[in-house]
Amino acid sequence: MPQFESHFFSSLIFWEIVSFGILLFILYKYAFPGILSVLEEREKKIKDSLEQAEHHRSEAERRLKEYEAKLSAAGKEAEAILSAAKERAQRLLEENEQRLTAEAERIKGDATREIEQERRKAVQDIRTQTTELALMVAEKVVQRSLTEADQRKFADEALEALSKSYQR
Amino acid sequence: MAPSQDPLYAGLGQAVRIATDLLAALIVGGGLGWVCDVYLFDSTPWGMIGGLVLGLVAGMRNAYRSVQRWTNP
Amino acid sequence: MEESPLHQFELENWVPISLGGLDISINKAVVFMWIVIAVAAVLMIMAGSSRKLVPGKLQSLAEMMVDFIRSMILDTMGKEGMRFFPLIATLFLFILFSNLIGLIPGSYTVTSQIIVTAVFSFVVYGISLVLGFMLHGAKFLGILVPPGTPGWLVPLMIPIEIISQVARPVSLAVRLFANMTAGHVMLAVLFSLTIGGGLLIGWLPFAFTVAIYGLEFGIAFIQAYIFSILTCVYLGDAFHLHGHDEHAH
Repeated sequence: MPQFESHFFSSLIFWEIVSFGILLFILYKYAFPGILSVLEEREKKIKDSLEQAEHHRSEAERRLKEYEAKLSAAGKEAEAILSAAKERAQRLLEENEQRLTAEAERIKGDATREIEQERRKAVQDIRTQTTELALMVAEKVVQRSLTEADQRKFADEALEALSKSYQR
Repeated sequence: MAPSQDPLYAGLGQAVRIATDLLAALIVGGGLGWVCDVYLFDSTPWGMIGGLVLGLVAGMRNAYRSVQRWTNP
Repeated sequence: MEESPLHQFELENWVPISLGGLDISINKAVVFMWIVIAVAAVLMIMAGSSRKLVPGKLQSLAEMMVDFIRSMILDTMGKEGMRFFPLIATLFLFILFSNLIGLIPGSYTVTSQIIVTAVFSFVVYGISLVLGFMLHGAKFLGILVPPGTPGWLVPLMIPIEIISQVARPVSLAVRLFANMTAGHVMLAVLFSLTIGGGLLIGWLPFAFTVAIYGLEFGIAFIQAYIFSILTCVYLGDAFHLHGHDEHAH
């Protein structure tokens, strides 16, 4: 194989080391820093935007949770208000009912008492008027023939009879 | 650019690698044995035989390492 | 074209130069090394100079490669490995462009020279050894005795581990060299068959040539990738003595 002809080795080794050294120097000086920095910059940019996206996402999530919490709080509040209103209405209703019942009772009682009073008064009136009337009639009839004692006796008897008939 | 990802090329490369691992260790072992024979102990041919045997073992070790490195990097 | 398929690898001195007794004559392979570094440098500088966040085609290609190497280093060595980024990236680009430029008909594949791949692999391995001793001192010799070795096995394990350690750069060099050589020999054989077969049956090897060309294109990438990832692994082993994936079951 021609590759094992050793008399070319010295020049190949020499030039290989020289050219490799030159290439290493050139790339180290002029090529790698630029490319590496672009790569790092891009990587950083990607990482940054990923981080930002993550940040946005967590922010949105936080907001959502906040809103949900608010919403549920509002719901609870509304429920509480509603139940309070219901209770109040119920109470008012019951109160009204009681009051009205009491009022009616009172009015009924008043009316009964009044009627009773009127009745008694009427009975009293009738009694006095009838007595006077009877006296007057009896006086007119008896004046001609009877003594005073007879007059009273007759009047009492008449009155007795009258009151008996009335009570019946 | 990742040529190692192509299964055909990767397999080929791996096969060639193992073969060269074995061959190189055999050459080195035999060579060292030969040096012992000729320059150190005048023990021809036992140095070379022993060197080849050791070279075979060493080659297997290196091949084993290569495969391991390949399978669980 | 009745010539050996190995003819394409032959070199001849075009410009004989001697540096203090050292023969550093210029030949075809040397010229193509220059072409490789020129192409790699120009493309990468062009790609690196347009620093747009939304890249063009060239820029994104170069960025893809750089990013690829970067994640390779981060995966195998972690953040501390990034100081080897220039070395590994240059190695990757050198090998990749050598492999790719070698696919152009009439050109020369620098990486099909065993000495070229050997220099790379032994330098890389030497760096990993130096790094290991610098970081761990004499404890780094512990790589020769894998943890969990029973005492009586130690005398046997040490030579085996020495061989397996030395075999690492050897196999690294041989792998790249063998892949490139085999691919180009195959292409040369198929191509000469195409020419020799004429129009009548020449299309069959021609179809093969096209298929193999596609395969070689992939292999050019894979070999550059394997070479650089193994570089990372060896350097990583020096970082992490008895690393986690080394002896895991």
